[in-house]
Amino acid sequence: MTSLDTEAALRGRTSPGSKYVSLARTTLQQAIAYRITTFFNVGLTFIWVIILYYLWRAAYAGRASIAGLSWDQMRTYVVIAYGINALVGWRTGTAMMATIRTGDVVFGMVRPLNYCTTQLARALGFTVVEGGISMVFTLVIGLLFLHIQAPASVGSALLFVLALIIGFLTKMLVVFLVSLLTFWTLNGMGLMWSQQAIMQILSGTIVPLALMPGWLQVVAKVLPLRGIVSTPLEFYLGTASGWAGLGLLGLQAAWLVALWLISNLAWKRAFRIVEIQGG
Amino acid sequence: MVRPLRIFFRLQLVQLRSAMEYRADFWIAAVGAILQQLVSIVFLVTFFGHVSSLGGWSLWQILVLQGLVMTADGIREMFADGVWKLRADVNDGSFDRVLVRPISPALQQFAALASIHGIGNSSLGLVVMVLGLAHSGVVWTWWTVPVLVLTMLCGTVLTASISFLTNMIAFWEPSAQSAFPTLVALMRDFAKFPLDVYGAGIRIVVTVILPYGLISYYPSRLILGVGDSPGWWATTPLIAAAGSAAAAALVWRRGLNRYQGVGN
Amino acid sequence: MSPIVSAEGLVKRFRRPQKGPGLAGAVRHLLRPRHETVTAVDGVDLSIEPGESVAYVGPNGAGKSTTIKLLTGILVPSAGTVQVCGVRPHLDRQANARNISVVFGQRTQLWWDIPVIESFRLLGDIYAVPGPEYRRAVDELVDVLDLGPLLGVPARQLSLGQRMRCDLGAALVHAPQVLFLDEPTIGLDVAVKARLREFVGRMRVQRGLTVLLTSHDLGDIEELCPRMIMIDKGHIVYDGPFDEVTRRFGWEQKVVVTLAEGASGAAAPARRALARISLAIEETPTGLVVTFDSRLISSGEVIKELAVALPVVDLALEETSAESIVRRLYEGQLSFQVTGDVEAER
Repeated sequence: MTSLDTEAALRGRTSPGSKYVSLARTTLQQAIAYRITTFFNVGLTFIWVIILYYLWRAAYAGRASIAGLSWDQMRTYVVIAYGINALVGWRTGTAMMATIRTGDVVFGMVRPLNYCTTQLARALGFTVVEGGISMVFTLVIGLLFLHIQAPASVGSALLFVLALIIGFLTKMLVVFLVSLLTFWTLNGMGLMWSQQAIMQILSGTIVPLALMPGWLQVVAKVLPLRGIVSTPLEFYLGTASGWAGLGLLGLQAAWLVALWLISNLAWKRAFRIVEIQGG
Repeated sequence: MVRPLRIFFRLQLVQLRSAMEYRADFWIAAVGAILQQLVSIVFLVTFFGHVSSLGGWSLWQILVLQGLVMTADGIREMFADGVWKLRADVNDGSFDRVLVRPISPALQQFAALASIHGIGNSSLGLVVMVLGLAHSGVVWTWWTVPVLVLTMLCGTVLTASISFLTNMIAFWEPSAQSAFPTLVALMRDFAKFPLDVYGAGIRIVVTVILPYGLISYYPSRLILGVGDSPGWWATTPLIAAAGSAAAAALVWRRGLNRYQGVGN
Repeated sequence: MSPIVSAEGLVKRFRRPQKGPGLAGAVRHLLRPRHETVTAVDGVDLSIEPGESVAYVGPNGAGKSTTIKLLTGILVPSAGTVQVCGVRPHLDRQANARNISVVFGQRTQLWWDIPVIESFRLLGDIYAVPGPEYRRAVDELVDVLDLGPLLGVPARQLSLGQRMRCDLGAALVHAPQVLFLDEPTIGLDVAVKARLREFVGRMRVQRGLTVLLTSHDLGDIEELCPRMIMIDKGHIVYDGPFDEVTRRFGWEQKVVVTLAEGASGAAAPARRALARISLAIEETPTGLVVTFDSRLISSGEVIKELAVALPVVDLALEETSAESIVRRLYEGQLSFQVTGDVEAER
């Protein structure tokens, strides 16, 4: 998306709200144009769903539960975990990074607006497509091929959706924070790889937190990344209820607020540093 | 034969020096690539915290599989990553330059990029593999190390040929993004685990069509003494390397012909 | 002496897929692909002697770059023969590559992040230039092109003019027999252009280098190339001395006439006066533009007739230099018949 597109999107708009919407709409058009690429990009993350399916199937041969999860639950976990992780995918991240290279005009025009919100709005266009395709993969592979379970109860389902939304926003903010690092390095790929890898581990995507070795579990439970995948899934599977569940939700929400504050502090700081350096 | 190879390595060296000009980027790419490999290892270690064997394989034995695949691909990254630039070169006309120089276009394309963080990946792969071997109670014979070395080298040829082949889609669909070659390349992750656990479909794909299994599973079974393994399995890496290299050479010729407008 | 570059009946066709728009079009194309055949080069004959310097000129899409690609071995002909230094480029591509050199104006062949001298060394290696010859070549090139201060600089830090000089040097490290220059002076300022032209000229004279130049810059052509080949719509429409172009095509001339104020309806009397000799008379807000055939009547006579018949305030004779002709060719204002005569497009 060129800075000219951005200008056009922003010109003649009145409220900040509608500016954000038109930004999102512009990238949505772009994203739809690249739907085949996105299809492949999301698809390739599901390779590991297949691998994990077979690995866990072998593990569960001859036992009913591992760390409190049954085979049905584990299978469900794997599919939905990857589905959630792919809601905010590669393109969303690189879109946020790209603007730092090309978005000088946006800087100028956006100063009255919030840069963080602007980035989120722009990325939303790609996220809609990536998320949509991810959901399709999740449903097709999950329901048709791997026979995943439904949520544990209606209450679980609702809590799942709530936690999913908070987790989704959390991931967007984390990716945003990482994207700020492109002020100092041209290699967006390296940043994306690092972020993806750490996210896969600490969010509980590659393996449920409950299975991790003690020290890693402690680290993961403290960080906000668990709110992206692990917490919503705990509600879905019904493994966290009552006060424990409420605690999880509270932690998730608290982290979201904290990340929002950190993000806003971070980008303002970054701008100032870059201005001083004349980057 | 020697001269083109010498030029090839000189070109690689140039790319390496170019990459090191951008120091921060180089390290970030290296760290990022290693972290990606670590995800698989973290999974394995966690997995084996709850399970003692996977399809009859122990953690250490599976680490040998992981190491073989990682090393093969890491070396490929060091020397043949330029194929990922083929699409861009074909699209902006830079490929013309390749045709106007008196050395092999394939070698030039291989050297177009040096993803030197391949050193990180292949080093990590070696470490993982050696650790796995050390703890697997391997019966060391005169052919163990040669077969290992052969497997790794053939693995490099295989991964290089496959990534070369898939990127040649650029000759027929210049606008296609690199999603398809990336997807095929990632299928090598299947070969990081014993093929016994997969369904028949995947086993066939990873043995015959994208024979990553031939450079990890089969030679490993022989070396590690897992189950009954016929001796000729020591040659499966050669079969994979030869077959894939031949396929790549064939399609490359056709791709070049297409680019040059032969038959129009 | 046999020609160093020759082509006979050279033809190049392309198959272009015809895709409809949108998703429907893509699917339809997948099921039943339709192609159209475009003939970019349609029976071109060329013969260039060693040491010649030839300009290859034509509007975009005329077949210019396709011909160059055929001569350099990048493309394979659909029909006809082509030979460069006794080698068929598409059959013996690497052998051909050793004899030639190509400078693409828009794309450098230098490696981006390493010092220029390293690029030279690499090229010396790629082209298998023996040590002493390499050193001699580089010394001379550095001297003539004044590359001394640039040798240790990575290509990415050079200005366009500096890079172009280095690219020219790089192209000649292996002492090719034929040099193809594809838009070499694009984006360069006048001083740099002059240096480059001087250099190429000197290489021709001193080393007998054969040069084939495509350029939109008529100054390049005029200064470097005694011979000009014009191609339009896949055919060669002119092949001869640059100066002759004026004589061949410059017979159509225009006089721009400014008339006194209030002189309306001037066209009619003018036409009557000039009826037998003018090709066209166009009215403009300030007067007229009269087009005539200078083979049939001299400009002096035309001016005299006009001055007599009309209240002329000012006259200007439009230039008919080779430049203007070629420029009009590029702008598609001229069309050529197979005989090589030209007609103006109205």
